[in-house]
Formats: sequence, C-alpha cells, structure tokens
Amino acid sequence: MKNLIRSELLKQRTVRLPWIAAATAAIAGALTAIAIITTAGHAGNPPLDRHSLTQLVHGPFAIVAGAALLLGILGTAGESRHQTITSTLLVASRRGRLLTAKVLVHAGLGAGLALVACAVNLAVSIPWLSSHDVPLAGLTDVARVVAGSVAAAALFGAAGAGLGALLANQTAAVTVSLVWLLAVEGLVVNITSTPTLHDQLPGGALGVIAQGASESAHTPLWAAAGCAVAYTGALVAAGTRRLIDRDVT
Amino acid sequence: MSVIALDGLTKRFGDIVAVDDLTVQLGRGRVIGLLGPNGAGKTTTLRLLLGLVAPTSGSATIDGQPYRALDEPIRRVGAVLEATSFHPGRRARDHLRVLATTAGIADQRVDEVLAEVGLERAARRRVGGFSLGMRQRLGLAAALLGDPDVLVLDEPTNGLDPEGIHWLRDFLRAYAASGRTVLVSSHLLAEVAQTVDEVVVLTGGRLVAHAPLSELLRGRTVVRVRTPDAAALRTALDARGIHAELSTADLVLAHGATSEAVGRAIAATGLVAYEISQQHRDLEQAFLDLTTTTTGAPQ
Repeated sequence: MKNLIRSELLKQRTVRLPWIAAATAAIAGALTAIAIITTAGHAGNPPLDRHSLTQLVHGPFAIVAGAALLLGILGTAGESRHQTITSTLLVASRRGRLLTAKVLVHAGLGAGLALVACAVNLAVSIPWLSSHDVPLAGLTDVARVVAGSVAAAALFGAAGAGLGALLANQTAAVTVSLVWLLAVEGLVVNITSTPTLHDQLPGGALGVIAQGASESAHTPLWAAAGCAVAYTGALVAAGTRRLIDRDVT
Repeated sequence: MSVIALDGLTKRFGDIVAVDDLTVQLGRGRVIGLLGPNGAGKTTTLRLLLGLVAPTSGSATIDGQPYRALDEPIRRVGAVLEATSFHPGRRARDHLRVLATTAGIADQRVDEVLAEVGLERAARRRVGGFSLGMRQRLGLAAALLGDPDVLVLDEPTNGLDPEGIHWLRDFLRAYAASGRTVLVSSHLLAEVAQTVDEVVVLTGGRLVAHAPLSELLRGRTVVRVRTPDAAALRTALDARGIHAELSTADLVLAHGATSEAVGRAIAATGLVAYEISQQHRDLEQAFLDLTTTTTGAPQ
C-alpha cells in the first residue's frame, strides 16, 4: 500500500494539473479575501466585524471543493481517458488496493488545496483587518472553519476518485457531479419543500462541514459529517466494485 | 513445465465470442508467435492472460497462477499492449518512475531500461511529443522494468522503423536465449517468422494450429538460389532429395527445403551462389491456408 500511495503521489507531481489546482487555490484564497473586504459595507454586504475572519477564510471553499472533486475524477477516470489504466493495472493488479491508494491520495490533495487556500486567505485577511482596526475572531472559531474546509475538501477529493472509478469516463463524471451539485440538490429541496433536507444531501452536508458548524445550518455538524462520509463511502465502494469487475479492453 | 497455460479459455462480449475454448501450454525459453488475422482474438487472449479481462469460462495462468494473484506481477511478466497508454503530459522517465515506484523498483533501473531501448536522450521529454516508434520503445522499457521471465507483446513492431524492427528481433531472440519466454502477437506471419520458435494460430477466437514454425512450414517453403551454375545445382539438389526447378537461366527454386539445407548442398558441391533467400510469399500462403480453413475466408 505504501508503494501504491507513493506511486499515486508521483503521478500527481509529474503532471501539470495538480500544480495548476494548487495555484488556483492560492489565487482563490487571495482574491476572495480582497473581494470580501473591499465590498464589505457596500451594496448590501455586511460591514467588517468580529465574525468577518471566519467568513473570509470560508470564502475560497467552493473553488477548492470544485478543484478537489475535479482532481479526484481525473485521477481515476483520467486513467481510462489516457489508457494509462492498462499499464497501471499491469503493475498494480489488485484493483481494490489501487483504488484505496487513489482515494487516500486524492483526499490528501483535497485537504492540501484547502490548506493552501486558507493559509493565503489568512495571510491577506489578518494584516488587512488589523490595519483597519477590525477585531479578529477567536483562534478556535477560525481553526474550526479551517479544519472543516480541509475535511470537506478531502471528502470531495475522495468522492471524485470514487465517482471517476464508477463511471470510468471523465466527461460523464464531471458532468454528473456538476449537474448534481448545481441543479439536482436544489430541485430536490424545492420539490419536497423540505429546506432541512439540503444539509443531508451530499453537497449540502459537505457545505455544513466546511463551515465548521454554523448556527445557520439546519443539521448538526455530526449528522452532516455522517451523511457526507456515508455518501463518499458509498461512491468509493461502488467505484471499487466497478473497477474490480471491469474488463479493460 | 509450461510457463503459460490457457485451459478452456473462453470470453464472450454479449453475443460475440472473442475467444472460444482455447487450450494451449507454452514452455520456457521460447519465442512464441500468437498469430491470426484481425479480429482473431489475439489481443483479447493476451488481455485475459494479463488479468485485464475476466474470462467467461476457463483459465489463464502464468507459472500456475492467474496474473491477478501474482505477488509482484511486473517482476514476473512484462507486457506491451498498446502504444498509446501514456499520459501525454508526463515525461518518459517519470512514466517509468511511476511504474517502478509501484513495484518498489529503484530509479536506477529506470535509467537502465531507457538506455536498453535507446531512449536515454528522450528521457526528459513529454510523451505527447513522441513518435509511435518511440512510444513502442517506451512501452518495452516499461515491460523490462522488473526484469521479468515472461514478455508479452501485442503487435510490437507497429510504428517501428526497419532498424527498430531489426533491433527488436535481435532483442527478443537474446531474451529467449537466456531461458526466458516471449509471447508476441502479430497478424503477419512473415513479420515474426525470423523471430519465433513456435506459433499459435487463432482464427475466429479458436485455435487452428500450435506447432513449431519449422513444422508449420514444412513442405511450404521455396528457397531461391541465384547461381551461374543453375542446371548443375538443380541436379545436385535433386540428388539430395530436394525438389528443385529452373526458374530462369540463373535461378533455381528449391521447394520444401530450408535455406540451411540448400546452403549445405551448395557448399558440398562447390558451386557458386550469388544469392540464397527464403520466399515469404509461401509463409503468408501457409498462414492464409490455416486461417481460411475454418472460416472459408480471411477475417
């Protein structure tokens, strides 16, 4: 397993996309901080206050989550796209272990992207807020949001790897995930007229985790975390079954 | 003991039977040609052997174990299946490092195999810029990483230039001479005739022949000899039981004999020969005879 994980990490290090994703996370961390601070108190946006830092550090999460999901999908479905699945399976013939390594690596990549985004965001936000005499939120509150973002991005990365293995087609996997997150979850909530359901659906549950528990969430953090882990586990399990049974022709 | 064993191996894709009840055992230290026209089931057979495709029934084993059960498969079997299975944005050396890392093989071995296939100068180039021949060589380098006892190659000469084909032939012969096994597929018998010891011929997914090449070609070869003493040579060959005919004033065709036997006959008589060559047209005819017997037409 150690060699499989090292190999998957090397795969990521030796192509450009993960580096582009890391740069995107860093830029997103900086730009969201600049955008939120410069528009605070204007055009209906709330003014800067003690709670601003937690909102700022949560700012880049949507972009980081998308990048983590995309990397996960491309890490598994991309092997079919480039036909590297053949050489990969010739070396790592135990497919379940291979996908486990991929899921772990992509969870780690997702977590890493979130850390980069949060670090850059805080590096921009803290001096800026301090220079404008805005009181800073407590360390515990900020740490909870950072930890939540890291955990949720890790789950997005793992889910992407599972979905990519399940569909084995990167275009289909990206399309399905976008349609689900951007349309289906909202439709389900509207059709059922049950707003509390949103936090129990995959995207909603991961959003609750990323906020590090929020008073505005309808669902407790532990429940959202349970839902998110269950959805991710189900995707990974289905992807593993599909990869094991699949004929690579 | 056989190193590769296929036992009642069958694979269906829906209604299509790609491989049909294939049973064959292949020994060590041989270059074996897996031959058949396009669609004969060669690639599917190799993928079944390598655990990439699951059999509908029957089994395919290497040293008595299915590929997927091998502990360190890359150290037992090296395979080149397609020249396109590379990430175009990854450098050649990095592609091999990824595979080597999975198997716990040191980077030093990566540099060795790159040199072995003549790609050391292209090692740091991205694979997207490689020619088909270079990709074939990189695939072969990947297959050699674990210094395996068995090499499995699917149409390995595709995209290789004549120099590359010559190099590959010599390489495979030397590999088998060291006691290891090479299974190489091709749809052209003439292409592998200079390399293989024995052939397995498929058509329509079924086995139609498994024999040493010499046995397969017995009675089918024609050796051309260009000589100023054509009539004398024909008489000398006839005297040795080799049926020969005068094609032109300076050309003798010896039927059903090997070039070695004809050469020895020429040496024994002291005649001069300008050229001795074995005609490939008859190799292809032998192949066509085998592959059309079952189906009535080549596929």
